[in-house]
Amino acid sequence: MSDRRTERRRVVLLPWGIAALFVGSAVSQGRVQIAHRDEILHKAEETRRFVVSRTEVARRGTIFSADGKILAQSEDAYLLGLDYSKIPHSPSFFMALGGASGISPSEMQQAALAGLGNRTWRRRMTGEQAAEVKSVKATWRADGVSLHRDLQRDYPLAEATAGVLGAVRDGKALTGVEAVMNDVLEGKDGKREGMVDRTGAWLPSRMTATQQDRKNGRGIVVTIDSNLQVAATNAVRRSVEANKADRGVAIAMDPRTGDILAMANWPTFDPNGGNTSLGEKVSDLNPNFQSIFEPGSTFKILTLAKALDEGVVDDRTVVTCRLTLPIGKAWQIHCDRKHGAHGPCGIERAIAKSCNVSAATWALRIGYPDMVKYLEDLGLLQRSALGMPYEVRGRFDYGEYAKPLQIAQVGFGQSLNATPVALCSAYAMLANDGVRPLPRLVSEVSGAPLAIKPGQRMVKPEVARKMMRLMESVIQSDEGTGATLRIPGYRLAGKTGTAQKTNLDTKSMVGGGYVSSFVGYVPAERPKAVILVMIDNPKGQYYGSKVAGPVFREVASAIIHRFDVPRSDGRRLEVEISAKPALRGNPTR
Amino acid sequence: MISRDFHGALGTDALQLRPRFDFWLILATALLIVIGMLALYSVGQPGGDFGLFRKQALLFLIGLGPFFAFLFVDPSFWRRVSSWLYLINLAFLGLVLVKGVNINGAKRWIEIGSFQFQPSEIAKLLLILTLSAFYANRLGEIKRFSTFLLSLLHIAPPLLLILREPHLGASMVILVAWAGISICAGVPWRMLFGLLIATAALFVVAYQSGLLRPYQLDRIGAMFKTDERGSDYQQTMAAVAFGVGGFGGTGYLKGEQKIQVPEHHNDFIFTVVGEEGGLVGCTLVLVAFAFFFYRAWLVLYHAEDSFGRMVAAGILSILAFHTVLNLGMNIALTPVVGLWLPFLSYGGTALWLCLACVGLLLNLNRREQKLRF
Repeated sequence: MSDRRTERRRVVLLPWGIAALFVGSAVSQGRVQIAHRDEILHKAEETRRFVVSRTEVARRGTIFSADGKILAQSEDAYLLGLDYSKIPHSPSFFMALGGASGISPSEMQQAALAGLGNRTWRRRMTGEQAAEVKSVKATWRADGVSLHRDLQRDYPLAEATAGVLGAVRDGKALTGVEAVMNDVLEGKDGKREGMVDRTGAWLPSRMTATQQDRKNGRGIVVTIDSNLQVAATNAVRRSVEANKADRGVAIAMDPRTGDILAMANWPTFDPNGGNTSLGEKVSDLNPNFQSIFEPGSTFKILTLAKALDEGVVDDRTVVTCRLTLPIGKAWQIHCDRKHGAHGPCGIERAIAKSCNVSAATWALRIGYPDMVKYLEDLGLLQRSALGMPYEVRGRFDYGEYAKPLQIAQVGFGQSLNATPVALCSAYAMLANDGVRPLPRLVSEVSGAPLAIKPGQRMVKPEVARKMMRLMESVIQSDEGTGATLRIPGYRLAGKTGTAQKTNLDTKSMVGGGYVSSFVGYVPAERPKAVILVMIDNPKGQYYGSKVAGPVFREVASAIIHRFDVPRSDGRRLEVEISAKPALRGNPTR
Repeated sequence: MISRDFHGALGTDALQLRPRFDFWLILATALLIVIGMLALYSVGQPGGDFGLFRKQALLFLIGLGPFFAFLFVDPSFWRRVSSWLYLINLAFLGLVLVKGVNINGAKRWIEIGSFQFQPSEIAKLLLILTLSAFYANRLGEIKRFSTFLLSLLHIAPPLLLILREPHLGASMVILVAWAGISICAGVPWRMLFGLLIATAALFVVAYQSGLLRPYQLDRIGAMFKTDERGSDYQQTMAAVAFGVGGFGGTGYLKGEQKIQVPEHHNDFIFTVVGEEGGLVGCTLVLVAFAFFFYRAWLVLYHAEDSFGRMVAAGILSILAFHTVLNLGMNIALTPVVGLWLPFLSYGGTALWLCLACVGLLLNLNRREQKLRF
């Protein structure tokens, strides 16, 4: 029986051994879970094996047109990420993935051969493509396929709004309204840091303290009218292409408020980053505020307005044009030699015939100090109220030796350079009873209308009204330089301009080309819009009425159509208006 | 426990009142299985994929087959057919080397239709039965050195076959079963310790003399690894899960680190308990295991029949070894050797083995009662 007792002892020994191991386990458990807990968690976070930091891209604010159309919108897009250690490397998998994502399968396969561990493609995918990628991932059980959310800026009107809105490239707004209003539009990216599960979803209780919520950008409404913008862009494009000009601009501004209804330029670029029908010429420079031009003859109306306002010229003033006008002993200015001398000109005839001698005489009567002050007040020598990046100032040489010649030339819009937008604002003053409106492009920020800044009085109201009547004769009288631009049933006012440019190579006027311009008012009584058109360096014909005039006529028609402007003869609007704005671009994308 | 303590006082009249099967052992088993199912459900919850949970439930139902077989078949039957069992064991282990499915460089599984089972798991129970029968037939010569050598010879073929798979964890379990049964059978300590010392000495000599080269040691070390990212990765992940759990745990189904742990449904199921139940939950599960082993030990303690006693000792040894080593590898005390946690880990063969063992223990317990009263 001693054997039996030995066995008993051994049997009793066993549970003690097991019990000891159990206690050991429990103690170790406590050690891991209580004593060394912080150390372990700290180590986990330090190695960053489990903690990821992710930026949540803020949605950029939408830009609406004055008529409620979307001009710029950020859409959800997706980027494809591949972890090559967790995907099948078979060609048919890459084919399937390529079909779903639109990324070339061979490119993906090459990256695999190059031994890349991870790669994210910059090419954006739509929501549908992302869904297809997901299904490919599921069928192939490819854990290494991931989708990252991104945003894509979409411009439905494409190149029609490119110059004025600018574009967002790689998350940066470089020019245009996008840049000016960047602080409002941009919003703030959110930042999250914490642990994710295998599918990439956040684990709510394992987030670190440094969280930042995503703040989406706010939307804005611009003063641009989508129909007018498209019509103006098309008109400028046609004129530039037909006349083989270097470039052209057109601005339509509401003279009461300074709201820019359309601001077109050509050539321009595709803000959606594609290669559309732009032809060979692509430019991301918007001459409307980034270039300066000599205003040319259109400026005569501003000279005359000032002269009338100062009382140095009145209705009875007659200047006799003998083709040239000597300035002092050494210089002279002259009218266009092709048309000959204008003879004696009252103010109405001087404007209708665009007589340089008359305009120079008026400017000389105003005198240098007042004329310069006038240029400054008109805002021609400063940056405009738009605050666009890379906007340039107008140019006037204060140190010019031949001051009388200089001021005589300024009288008909030479020896002076200004941006089209500054000029348009100056011309708008005549349609606003002598008060110059400040140009603006943004009318609402996140639903709140912005106040219109009051303008500055330039001339007396009756002078402004008289000027409007005089300019009506340019178009409505048969001898006016703009007689071909009439729109039946409507009274329009305007002024043509043809400025000779200095040839930068020879420093002379010969061979420098021309700037054909036109400023017009629609309609002549209580104008809805002032329209400025400038076409730079047209080849062949270069007169303002022939090159810039048709652009004005098209935009004017669009404005009549858009605002349902009543006919001046009291009859109802008929379908005779030719240039109906047709939406170009690709609104649905 | 209660029935045992009071039975002496109540006398033989109480015989009819006492349940025929050890209710507490059944309860402890059921409790552990329920904990395992809850943990598996929790594993599937983040992805909403309860496939493992449902499959394990099905495997449990299938496992009731072996459970009842071992519950009702007289243990002496197994002793009588032990030679056949031994041959069957070798046949299975041989078959897996020929026809086995290679997963991660190890041939451990035999595929029958859509089912896979591991002969090395079955070998654990079969070897307990055959070795116990071997000792029971030589009780008179138990202290002889020849018996000791023969017992080593008995386990050598299955052990070598399992090492060929390779499955180091299962080989260790076989050795533990041998040790447990040998101790219980009354093999002299000097032989057991002598073997231990001899083995250790052999290793030292082999290493010192340069017979065993460092890369061979590395290979031995590599046999422990079950994850391509290394056992270090698994155990670091597990440590974080336990750390996240802390004292009170995150709450059931609220664990988040668990999914980071490779094999979290299998060898590392305890991390789910650790994260969601914290130290409290872990301790409670440990207590449940302790209670189970206490009830199992009582079977061993009260066993009068030496064959039954040795079988109980073998079962207790392997289950306790599995439990302790698994817990050890969960908290990085021991290397990752791929030993499942009894009743909790996902896996058919493992669960069937556990259920068969419990059936056998209940069976032994019931027969001992008859014998004594």
